[in-house]
Amino acid sequence: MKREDVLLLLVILLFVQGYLFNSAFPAILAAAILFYLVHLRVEFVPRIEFNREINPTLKDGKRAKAKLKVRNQGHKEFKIHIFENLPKGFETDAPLLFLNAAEERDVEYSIKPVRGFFRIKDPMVRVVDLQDLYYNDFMPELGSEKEIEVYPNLDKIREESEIGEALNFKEAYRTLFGLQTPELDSLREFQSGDEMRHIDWKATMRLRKRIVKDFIKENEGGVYIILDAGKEMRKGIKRSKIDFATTLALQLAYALRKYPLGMIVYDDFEVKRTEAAKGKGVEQVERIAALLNIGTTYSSLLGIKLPMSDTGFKLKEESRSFISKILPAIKGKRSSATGLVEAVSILPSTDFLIFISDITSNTGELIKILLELRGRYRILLLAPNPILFYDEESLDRETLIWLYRRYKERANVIRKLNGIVPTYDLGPSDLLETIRRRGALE
Amino acid sequence: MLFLIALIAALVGGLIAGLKIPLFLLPMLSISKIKNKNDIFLILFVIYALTIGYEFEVASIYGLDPIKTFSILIPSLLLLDAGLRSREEEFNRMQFAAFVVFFIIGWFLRPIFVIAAFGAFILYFSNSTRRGAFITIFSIFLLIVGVIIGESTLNMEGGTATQVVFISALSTLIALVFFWKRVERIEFVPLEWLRYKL
Repeated sequence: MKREDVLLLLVILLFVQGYLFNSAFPAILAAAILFYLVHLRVEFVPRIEFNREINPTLKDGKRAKAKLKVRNQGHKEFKIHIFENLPKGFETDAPLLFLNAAEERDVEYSIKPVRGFFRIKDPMVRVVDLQDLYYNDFMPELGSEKEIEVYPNLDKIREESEIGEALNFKEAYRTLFGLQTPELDSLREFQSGDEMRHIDWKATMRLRKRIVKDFIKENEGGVYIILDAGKEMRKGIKRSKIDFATTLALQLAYALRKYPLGMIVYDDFEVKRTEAAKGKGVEQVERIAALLNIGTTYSSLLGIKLPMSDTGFKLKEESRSFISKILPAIKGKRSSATGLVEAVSILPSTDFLIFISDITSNTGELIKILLELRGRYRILLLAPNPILFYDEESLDRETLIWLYRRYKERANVIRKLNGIVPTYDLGPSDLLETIRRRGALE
Repeated sequence: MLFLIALIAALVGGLIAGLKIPLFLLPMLSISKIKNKNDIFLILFVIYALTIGYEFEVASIYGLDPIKTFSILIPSLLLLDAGLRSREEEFNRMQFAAFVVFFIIGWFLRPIFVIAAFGAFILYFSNSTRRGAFITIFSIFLLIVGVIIGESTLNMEGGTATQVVFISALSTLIALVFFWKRVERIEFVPLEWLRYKL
């Protein structure tokens, strides 16, 4: 039922009342209400022009201002609702405003984007009369699409890293910073992950806040983060492993900002982006952040392969080996070398390598490469566990059994990898606990 | 401010016409407006209008008391419009005080009340477009002309029901001419707010 229908119903009731009660006044009142509705209908002729401006480069999770220029070309005041049609994961607080006849106004509101590359249209504008009876929707023009790129938000990561709470990732973090020497470097405020035994109690009492001793670390060389952005990492429903991995990479980059830091991003076929470990500091982290606008490929399963039935189609070992050789050529790649091999081949001499990779997609190759590299570099392998990223809502008995098998298989792989280099199996809550709680990844 | 003026006008107009039940409904109408529950206001207004129709009797349109009739009719329309409006006008103290003074004087000198209510009505619809104002005035004019032309047939003893049928038929026909225009209409969801409370 519409609001206008309530008044039309009243009109009918008043006519009937007048007839039954032998009184002319209800009919006069009904006619007056009817003419009032005619007046409102005739007056409702909305004509609106609008155009939205938005910065084409945004940061993940950081509210960006969108400016909508609206012009009321009608002769009446109207109420304007703005409805943004943004990609999945975006948030907005599109406002409501009143626009007088022939008034033009710039409306500013915020949009909270998620990482990736998007094409977004202008919003839909709903014009409503002041009596809330009628409305008209104005759709965006066909050519209003704009391209925007959303990079990871370094500020957010920095802030959260500094005030974060106890982290499951503490052990890896310590490995990452290298073994410390007994030589004191400086004093600083306590941060989560710091050991209690390093608290300088005298300074703590004097300054009335927890102060820890920072020791000089032996690891002073360059660091390379090698990030897997292959298909398996990018698959996801709500969040993919790549969301987690890019945030983690950025956190690591910020934590290691005092060292020369580089990054290589590769996918299943080739190296996609590189940043040489020439600089350090926040500027270098900013440059690395610019490499991380990698979006999720939405799929029905979250970052893991479908369970294959026992009676399903299986290839022989020789056939599989043959296909793995010719498949890259079919997909347009000249050689059979994968993105990982290419990434490793362009590595300059450096001290420390941090691999962030899905260990299930190319396990054999990864093991070979790690065995090859471990003599020359200090290596840390961080593996987002796809099972921990699984969408709980889509779990059923069959999937659960299959997940358990995969979990056991994966535990074996992790054990094997741990024998080669320190390997950490990570879930979505690792390191990102506080960030997620604050909604930065929502 | 417009709602306050309409409310006082409805109160004084109701007292002039000797209404009882509709006046008891005015506080509820005010609360629904203050709480911004526009759909609840709409329901209450339906009840308000029906109680006026029940209490205020006009045996024949040719013998109606114009002062009493307009004392109820104009404030009712003002109340409906002010209640539906989603944006309140800025409060103009001088204007408000002037209307209140005229309404109070109008309680004793009834023509002044009708003039003041009519003044408020013009103030309400002063931002209408020429087209809107013309069509509304033209519709009312057609109805009045119809009633005058049909006087010989309609003005007879016991002819109230015929007058009602005539008014309803003519006003519906006039309205239908302008109802051809297709517009999107807003949903009536009076209890939507309850969904969030429960």
